[in-house]
Amino acid sequence: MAKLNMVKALNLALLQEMERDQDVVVIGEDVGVDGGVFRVTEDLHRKFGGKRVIDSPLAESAIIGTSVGMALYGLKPVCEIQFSGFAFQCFHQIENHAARYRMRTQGRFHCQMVVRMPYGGGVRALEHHSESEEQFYAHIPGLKMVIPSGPRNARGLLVAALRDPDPVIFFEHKALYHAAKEDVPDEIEALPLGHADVVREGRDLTIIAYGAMVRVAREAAETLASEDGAECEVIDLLTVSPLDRETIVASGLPLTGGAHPSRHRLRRPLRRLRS
Amino acid sequence: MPRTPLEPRFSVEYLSILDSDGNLDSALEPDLSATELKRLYRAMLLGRRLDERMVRLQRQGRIGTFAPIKGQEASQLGSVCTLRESDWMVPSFRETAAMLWRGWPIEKLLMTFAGQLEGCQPAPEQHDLPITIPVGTQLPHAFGLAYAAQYRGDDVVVMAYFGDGATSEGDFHEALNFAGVWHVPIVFVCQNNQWAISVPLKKQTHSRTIAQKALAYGLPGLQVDGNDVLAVYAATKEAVDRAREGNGPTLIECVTYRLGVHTTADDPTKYRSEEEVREWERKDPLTRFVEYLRKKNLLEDGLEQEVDAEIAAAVKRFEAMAPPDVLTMFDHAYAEKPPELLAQREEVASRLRSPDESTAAPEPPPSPPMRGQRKTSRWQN
Repeated sequence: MAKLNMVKALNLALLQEMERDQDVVVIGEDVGVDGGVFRVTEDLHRKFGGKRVIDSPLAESAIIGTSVGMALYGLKPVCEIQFSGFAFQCFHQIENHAARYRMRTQGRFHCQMVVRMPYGGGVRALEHHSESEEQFYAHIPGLKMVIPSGPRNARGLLVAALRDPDPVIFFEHKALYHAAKEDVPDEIEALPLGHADVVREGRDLTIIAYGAMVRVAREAAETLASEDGAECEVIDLLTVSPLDRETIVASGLPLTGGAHPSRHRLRRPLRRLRS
Repeated sequence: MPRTPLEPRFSVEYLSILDSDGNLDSALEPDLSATELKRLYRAMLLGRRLDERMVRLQRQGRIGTFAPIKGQEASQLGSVCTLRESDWMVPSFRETAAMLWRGWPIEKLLMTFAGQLEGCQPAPEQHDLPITIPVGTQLPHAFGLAYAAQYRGDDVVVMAYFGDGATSEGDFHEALNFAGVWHVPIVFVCQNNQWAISVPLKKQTHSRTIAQKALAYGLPGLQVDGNDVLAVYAATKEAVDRAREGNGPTLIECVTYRLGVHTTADDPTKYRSEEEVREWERKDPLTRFVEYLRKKNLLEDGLEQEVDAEIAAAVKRFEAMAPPDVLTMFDHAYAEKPPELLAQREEVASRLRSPDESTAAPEPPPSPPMRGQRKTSRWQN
């Protein structure tokens, strides 16, 4: 157990998965010798060499396109897009190919790959360094979209994403990289995708958040409790897509009867929930 | 300081072995056995006959939009025949003849152009990607395959196809650049068929050749007569051998011509002249190869009928197939269907079971108010 910030926690996930699985390779701009501009891939180049931790030429489309090709061959690439604001230059490779290869080939091929992107504002950065484009990826069938909110879940989710057979877009909020330290277990820990976390229980209102907004939502919940006496439930989505509707609905609606509520019963309460 | 020319000087070669009049440069003639030559010709003929048949099938409404290859048989077969089964082939969407050579059944090609996803499913042991429609986007995939093969130490060469139009795409340049930097075993085969739908080569690029674009990325580039199957074979064999020996990638530009339409949705009389087409028909890759084989006494009687019968049998099998099950559209979005997708599948399945009921289905009763919802909420529930 060590106290780690999110950068170190993500680095630990990559390091341990690369030690465990030869097929995991890292590719991106400055991810090798430099260890990434946010240092998430620090030391990996030294440990695993330049063929496995690839300092690519400066070309987002080919970083993703290359990863698609490597994944089709059976490798498990983790690519880093330096800032999510630059990802429009590879959006077609993500949407047209990474997300669709399984469908296109009816299961003959698939792209087991993780696309890591730092996102979000609040770090006094210039244009194209502060965007939040999760909505684009969250609506693409074939992709999974994961956004951790702290060091421990970041590590666990990245491990799970690396082992997931489908392509995962993994957003890391820049303001969270050094925001806090948490106890992170030494042994590998995977946090299953597709499950939201109820981080505060409450019966009056539900706030749904992810990434850096989870902390804000919790603070708001505390304020409401102390000033209004209202008890807020706070849900940390963790996986933005596919959405954990069950946890959301369970928070807003007493579910009776069958264990699997029908789509209508799920859809309607969701419309009534406001985040 | 004076300006000084940089070394090395760059040059681009053009290779032709069997010209359109049937003249053979016997010094350059590749060493192909009678069996290999006959197999090549059969594949070219099959490519041509199937192409013509598929255009007719589209006109009759029996398949959807199709991109014909007529005129490009030598470019495709002269190159693809240099691969081993364990090598990888990455097509664009106009490589019917190359795909047939790699073992794609005719039915699958028909299914692809009839809009059925099963058509793009390679066999489990097949080392081919399916067609890629967004122009040039398959080239970084080909590089990724080659990189992965090199990473694992596998004896694999990757061959990637694209057209002249693709050389304007960023992905073309990025893939060549990556391939040069990482020195991977890949052969880029450009079928320069002169037209990207309605845009001629001179409006696509100001370069004298496409082959020379390789030089900017530190790769060898070679231009060949793409209608000369012997020249295409010789050039690609050299490139594939070089790649296999660990000596890096090559770009080959096959100068050819799209004798037919871009796709069956296109009318080329709007943008190019009949004379131009006639001139290229004179350079038909099959005609000169037939002459070459005739001189070697390698032409077989009845081959056309045999090939036509093979096509007819495949068309029959294709048309006898049951229509695809609508519900399979949910099957391969993810390895495991998320709950939301399962719910959607169930909804479609139930509508299919009782279509009348679903149209008249009453609105479900409004949900009860949310637990703890305050009456003062500004949200109207």
